[in-house]
Amino acid sequence: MTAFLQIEEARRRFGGVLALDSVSLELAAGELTALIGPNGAGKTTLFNLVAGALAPTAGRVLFQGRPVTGAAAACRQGIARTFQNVRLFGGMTVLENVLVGMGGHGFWAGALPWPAGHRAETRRRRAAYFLLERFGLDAYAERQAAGLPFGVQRVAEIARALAAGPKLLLLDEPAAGLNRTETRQLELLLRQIHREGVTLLLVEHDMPLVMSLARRVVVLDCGRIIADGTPDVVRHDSRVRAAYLGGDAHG
Amino acid sequence: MTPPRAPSWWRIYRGPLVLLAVVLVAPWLPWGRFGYLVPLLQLAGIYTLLATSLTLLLGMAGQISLGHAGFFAVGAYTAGVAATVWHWPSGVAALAAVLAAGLVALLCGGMVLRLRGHLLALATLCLGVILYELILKSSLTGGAAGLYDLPEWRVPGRLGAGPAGGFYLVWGAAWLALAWLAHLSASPAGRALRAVRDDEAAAAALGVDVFVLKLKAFVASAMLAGVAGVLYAFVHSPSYLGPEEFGLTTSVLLVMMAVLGGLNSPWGGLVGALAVMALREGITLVADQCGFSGAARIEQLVYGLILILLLTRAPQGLVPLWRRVCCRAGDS
Ligand SMILES: Nc1ncnc2c1ncn2[C@@H]1O[C@H](COP(=O)(O)OP(=O)(O)O)[C@@H](O)[C@H]1O
Ligand SMILES: [Mg+2]
Repeated sequence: MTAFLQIEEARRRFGGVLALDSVSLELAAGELTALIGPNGAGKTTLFNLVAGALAPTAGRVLFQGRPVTGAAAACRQGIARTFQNVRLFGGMTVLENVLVGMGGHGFWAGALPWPAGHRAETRRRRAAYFLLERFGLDAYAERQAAGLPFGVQRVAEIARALAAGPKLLLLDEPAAGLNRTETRQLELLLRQIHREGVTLLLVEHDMPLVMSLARRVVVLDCGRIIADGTPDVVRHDSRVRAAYLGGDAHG
Repeated sequence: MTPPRAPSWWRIYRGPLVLLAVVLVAPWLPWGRFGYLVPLLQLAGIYTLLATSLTLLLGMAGQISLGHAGFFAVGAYTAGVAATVWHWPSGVAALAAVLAAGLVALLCGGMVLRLRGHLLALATLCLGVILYELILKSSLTGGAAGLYDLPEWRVPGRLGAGPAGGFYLVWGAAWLALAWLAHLSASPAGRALRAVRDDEAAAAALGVDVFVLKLKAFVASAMLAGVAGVLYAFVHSPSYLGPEEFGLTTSVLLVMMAVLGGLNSPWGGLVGALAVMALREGITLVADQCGFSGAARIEQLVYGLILILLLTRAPQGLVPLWRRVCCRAGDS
């Protein structure tokens, strides 16, 4: 059987820097996995490969047996993501941000005023609004994204990613910059998303969050996977302690 | 709050409907001794079309073009050459002209749209210069001497002889372009364009084919400029088509109009084009009234100063400024 997500000996080089060195990783559908590692370990680079934003220098990424060829293609295959530094469309409202995730972008199809297009748009707006309501963001629906509180932007970005209806959701440090209450809410939100059948892979420095949320933890250091197992196993792994928890600890 | 619906047809199209009414009555107003303004307004219609094509490209898709006069030229000259040198029927020549502008944009866009920011500005500027030089140096286009006696388009019937003869054609096209942009702006495609403008990587992650969408916007924008070119050749200036109108100055002027009007509104091109034309004419008029003979010399200066002032005072453009003023008036 083909794996849900399969990364085969992926390597990625930036000039002289080898950001990822022969990383192989398999994810099954329905997993909730955390990817941890010190700064510069290559976590974001790995996300970029999986999401199709970067091509691997060598190796390949297969999602449900098919190679990932580009960012837009990855989205259509069912991979959505958030960014380490929140990247909402600043000039648009929160509702419009979510609507971009709902598709229907065809230029020529949108170029003429068909009644069917109008009905589809109303459907999309309903769905987007209910998504915002579920995330407690309905009050911000008509507000411009730039200038909203950071915590709201974080959650809005997750809502936008979910609007694309992904099977796999990649979250790059979703708790960074959130306070304790917001982190607690985020945890509940992620559990709920996971229960609804979305496979989650998250990069996170907040160790209590990682340990309580993830069933599996993968540790990356200097572009290599140095540990992979349950939170308890990983926590007591000596190499992990040396590379990460013991040395330059983050949380 | 109730779940939002798609913007109603009335909300999208009330603006275009009002504009249509204005366009229909404009040539018949009692202009009196200001009758000379009607042909000028006709030219403003062509500039509206051009500035609107930039509102689409720069305002919605966030891609600059400093060579748009080049597409204007491709439209005008393809129509002119096809009609006068190759003796094609003018309708076919016009169609070929618009397609040629789109084709040039498709070929060039494939190369330049991978660039961003300053580099894209430079590349499109070069493109405009190259197209201008080609026209200037080619024997087919008549070079600096230009083309003479192009077919003239007028509204058919008795109407064609009056002041509305060309006016309706130009403004009819400008109106269609504006109504289309108002529609596009409210559609998912317009949203995707704005997403590309704000953050390409995030747009791509949400399934937007960034490059393809940019290319389509570029081609559509160039075709609008091509239509403006056809109208310039066959309606506005059918007796003579020369290269002066299509240089870098025009390209810069078009960007100026689009920015001055406001990039965030589909109406920006219209407002910007009318404002710049009015400013130019106003300065000449005032200078004449004062009996000042050097108007031509200081015109550029005053005109530049006022534009700088407007852009620094209202960097978002005139449409948002107008909205702000109206809101304030409504509050008090
Ligand atoms: N676009 C890029 N250009 C050049 N170097 C990069 C780029 N992206 C990442 N790197 C380098 O790759 C390494 C891994 O970075 P990254 O994947 O961001 O790590 P992490 O997310 O684990 O902190 C770092 O040394 C970083 O400097
Ligand atoms: Mg990172």
